[in-house]
Amino acid sequence: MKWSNIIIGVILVIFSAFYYYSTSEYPPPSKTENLGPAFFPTLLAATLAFLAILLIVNSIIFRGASGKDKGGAVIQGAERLEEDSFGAEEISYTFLFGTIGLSFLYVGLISILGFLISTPLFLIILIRLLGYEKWTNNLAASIGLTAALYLLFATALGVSLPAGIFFS
Amino acid sequence: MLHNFMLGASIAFTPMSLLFILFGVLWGILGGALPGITGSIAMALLLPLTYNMAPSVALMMLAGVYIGAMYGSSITAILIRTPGAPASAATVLDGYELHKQGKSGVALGISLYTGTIGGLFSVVVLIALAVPLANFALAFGPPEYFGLTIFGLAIISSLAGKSMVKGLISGVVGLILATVGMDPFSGIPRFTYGSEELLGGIDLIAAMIGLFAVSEVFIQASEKGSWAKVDEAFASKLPSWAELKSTLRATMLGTIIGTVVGIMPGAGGTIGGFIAYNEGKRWSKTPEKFGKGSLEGVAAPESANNAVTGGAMVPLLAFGIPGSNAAAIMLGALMLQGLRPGPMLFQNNPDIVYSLFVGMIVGNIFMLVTGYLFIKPCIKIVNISKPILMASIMALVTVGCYAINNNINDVWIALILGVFGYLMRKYDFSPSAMVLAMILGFMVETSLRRSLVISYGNISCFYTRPIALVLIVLALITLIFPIVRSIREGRKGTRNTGPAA
Repeated sequence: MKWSNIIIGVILVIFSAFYYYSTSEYPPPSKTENLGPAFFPTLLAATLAFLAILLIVNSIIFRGASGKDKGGAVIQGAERLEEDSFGAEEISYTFLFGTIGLSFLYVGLISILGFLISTPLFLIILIRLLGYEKWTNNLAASIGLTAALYLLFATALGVSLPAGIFFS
Repeated sequence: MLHNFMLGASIAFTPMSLLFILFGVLWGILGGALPGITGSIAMALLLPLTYNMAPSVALMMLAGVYIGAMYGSSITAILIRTPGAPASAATVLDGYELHKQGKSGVALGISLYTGTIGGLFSVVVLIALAVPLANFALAFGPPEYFGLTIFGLAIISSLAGKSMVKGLISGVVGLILATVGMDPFSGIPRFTYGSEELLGGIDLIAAMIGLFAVSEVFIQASEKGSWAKVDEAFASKLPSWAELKSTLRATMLGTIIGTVVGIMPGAGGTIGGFIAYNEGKRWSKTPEKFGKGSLEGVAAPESANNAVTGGAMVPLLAFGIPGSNAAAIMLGALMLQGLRPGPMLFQNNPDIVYSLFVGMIVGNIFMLVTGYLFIKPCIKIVNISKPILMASIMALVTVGCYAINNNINDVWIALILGVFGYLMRKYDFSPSAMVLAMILGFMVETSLRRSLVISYGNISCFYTRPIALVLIVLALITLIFPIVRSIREGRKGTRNTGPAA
């Protein structure tokens, strides 16, 4: 029994109920258009709920056995690689949550501090956090990349990047 | 036809176009060579830049990236046993053996030459198929498009995940995300929960960048190990004419397999490469050499993954249905410019379609010419430490998403979907199926509702029109067949193990 599948299945059932509930206020079908805005979403909600329940039932019935519903060892091997770059490498949750957290912080701060301040800060901290220890290279790469991005987007493409409270 | 080709050539052979195709090919080779960065991620990263380009130039450049990446991924596959993208996973088996035997240059050369052959052949097939298919599709009405999109989605979702249920769930969630925004018929907002920003729907470009590129950065960043350093001093002797000729059979097989696999929605370079490797071995005169440094073992998968590039454009151009991540991104680039691929594009914008044909031929030739010279600079960049590369991609993604609409909300969408994509991949769901469903969602719903409008609510339009009927039946078979097979295999399994237990 794969607990993760059961939990995901339950979340999906709740989500499809919520999604279905959101359609309750939509106007009914008109005379010329007989399905109306709620029909397709209702169909999707039902399909998702059905598939989610199937996922839960599968995980309970086929204990331990997973992925047996497909044939062809080659195709399976290929598929495993197609999307799955999760290798045998050990996962560092510090790296993972650090990268995600810093990225959110960066996007949150970019409007306040501006692109030219927040970007090098973000790069320097993330590069150090991911275990790179040579400070001079880190600084050079971070500042160089910020300059390159600024030249490409702001100067060449004319995008007005957030200036931040210090420059505006 | 000839007139259209002249038109296409006149666009492709301008200095600006040639420059962008060349840049695309080089960017693709580099992206392909970087472990974890696939061709479609390299393409997604360039998407925001295409906003200011002519659509024809943008498409040619992106096709160049796609072509270059298929070869680029073999560089690291051969030199450090790490395929730069999964499309070259099968190349590792013999490519790395050849490298160990001191024949690195031979292996890289075979990959480049057979890849070019595969790529060029597939463009010819693309031209031969897409034009008549698009003419055929001109007669399609909403019921046919409904059948076509449902069939495409059924194949994509059932092939995409490790388990069919999870693939289908990924597809349905994609369809659900596509319903966010203004209802195309009644104009009322759906699932926007009061947000003005969501009225236009979830930005597709931001979603693709998030699900493809950002999720990959999170995966790469979370892995402790770093990539193996590539030794710059490898044996650079290129293959001889006799060596190249010895791979002829494998190259032909790989080319045909790759083209066919490319046309099928949901299958791509990875599957093409593996099938070609197996078939190459089966039909080889010296199958015993496979796995021990066979040149055919490099030629088969590498010609196949390059041949996928032309094949993948067939359903995209003829029907407007993307069957792979790369095709989805090309479609995104067109939509960014307010265009949609499909039969009408051939009618209204033949310049775009035909310049893409010519541009893909040019891209393959550019790859052949620069492919070998570009290995050294590529290695230098691959050898830059992983933390710097991952942080750089994150910054590029942020600025790129912001640049699409000068809007920070698109960056948030990319980040949130990046986390979502990470979780999906961790639990074996398929971000690709979700993206393709997001793209097709609008078409599925509008074609369904429009069908019933024109038939005054009579569902007979789905079974009295032969093409629509065939497509819907094919979709049902695609969905039901694996279930029937798994039940039968399950029964057989219990019968076989029964007496033993």
